[in-house]
Formats: sequence, C-alpha cells, structure tokens
Amino acid sequence: MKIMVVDDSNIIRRQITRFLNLENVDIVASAENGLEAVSYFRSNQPDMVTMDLTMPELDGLGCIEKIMDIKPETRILVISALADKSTAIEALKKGAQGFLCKPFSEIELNNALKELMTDE
Amino acid sequence: MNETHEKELKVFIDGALHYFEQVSQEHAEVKTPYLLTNDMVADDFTGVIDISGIRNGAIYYTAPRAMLHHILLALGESQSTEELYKDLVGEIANTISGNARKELGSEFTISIPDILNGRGIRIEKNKNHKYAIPIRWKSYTSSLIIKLH
Repeated sequence: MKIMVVDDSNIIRRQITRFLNLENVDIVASAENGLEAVSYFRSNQPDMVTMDLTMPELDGLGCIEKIMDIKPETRILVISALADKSTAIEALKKGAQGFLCKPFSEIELNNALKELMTDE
Repeated sequence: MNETHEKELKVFIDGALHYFEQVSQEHAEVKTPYLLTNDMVADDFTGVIDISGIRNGAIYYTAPRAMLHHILLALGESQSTEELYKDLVGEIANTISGNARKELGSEFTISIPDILNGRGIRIEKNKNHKYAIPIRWKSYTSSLIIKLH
C-alpha cells in the first residue's frame, strides 16, 4: 500500500517515517501543507494518507474534502493536536476514517494505521 | 488567581506533563505558576500560538537549545539543526494548545505556530493577566506562558 504523510512540521513528518513499521506499506510522498498534499496526491495516487489539520495554505479539513473528490476510497488518518470531539467528528464527516491525537507513540501510530487498513 | 484562571492553568499544565511523558517516557515537573509582573525574557527558541474565538491572546513555549536537543534525541531524531529546534518549539506550543481544546472546546481557536528565535527577546507584559508555568525536564527548565483575556 502507498501512503502519503501530510504535516507542516518536519519533525512530525520525520517521526511518522521513523515510526512506520508495517509490512507492505511504503511512504510515497510527504507534504507540508494542504495545497502541496493535493498536488502530490494527484501525481502519486496513495491508498492512505496521514493528515494534520492546522496547516498553512490549505488546512487539513479542506484537504480531506479535495482528496475525497479525487479518490473517495482513500483511507485517511487524521493526526492532530486538536483534541476536542467536534473537530474529530467534523474530520470523520469529511471522509477521514481515523483520528490520532498528538503527541503519539510508535505503537499508537502503527495500530491506528493497521485499523485503517483492515476497517471495511 | 481566580477559579477560571486556575482551571485553565490546570488544563495547560496537564497538557505539558502529558507531552513530556509521551515523547520521553519521563516525567516532567511543573513548578509553581506565577503571575508575571514584568516582561518575560525569552529563552533560545520560542513558539507562539495566537488564540482567538472564546478567548483572545497567545500561548508561548520558550526553551533553551540544550533542552530542545535532548527532546529531539528522546523523539529518536538523529539530527539537531536550527530549523529542527524552531520546528520543535512550535510543535510543542501547538500540541499543548491544541490538546487544551479537549477541555476548552473547539471555540478555543489556535493559529499555526510563529517562532521567535533568539535569547533575550522580551515577551511584553500588558494589562492582560499573563502567567508563567516553569516546566523542568531532566536538568533543564523551560516556560509555558499563558496570556489570555
């Protein structure tokens, strides 16, 4: 499976890259804002996306909408510091399938992605 | 300090403790928060989150370079650059502020981080209440500054 990492923090992008430990999952792109993510999404067509919410240019919720327009079967895991329920619900309504709150551990990341892959 | 301020400070203190526990599996220690009566002098790197919505103001997280270096190591990061230090203080400020929405709600709107680079920059005191929360981790001390009105 191909995955794209979207976060405006280089530290978080690098952390996800280091932590990701799932067989047959390869990071094909990483983007630092929503506009870049949409552009990379079109050219790489990943199956999964980890998505930050608070980003410059185009935020995560707007980016989820655009990705859903392009490829509705994409599995999106939101990884955000925004810990309130209504933000998580809004992200799920826009098309995300999972929500992981920052700060996160290696186990939490891999479990959340596994769940995303197996969830029908 | 009134009851509202105390509750809010507890939200941020809990957020800061959770951050260090999660990234390093080591407890941080929070010293007694205090009301700033003078301008605060920033440490080497400072992340600033502007707050709008139900409250207005800003959250600052300011830390020395050596502490940020050790947090990067705790995160498993092999590099230590100026850019990563700036990114890290911004991410810590963002994470603690964003986590606060669990208690303060989605109307507590946070900006993307802005970074102040350089020790000695004055974080000006104004007529709003401003609290400093000293956070000790390993042998280092950083500060979370809450300026809300």
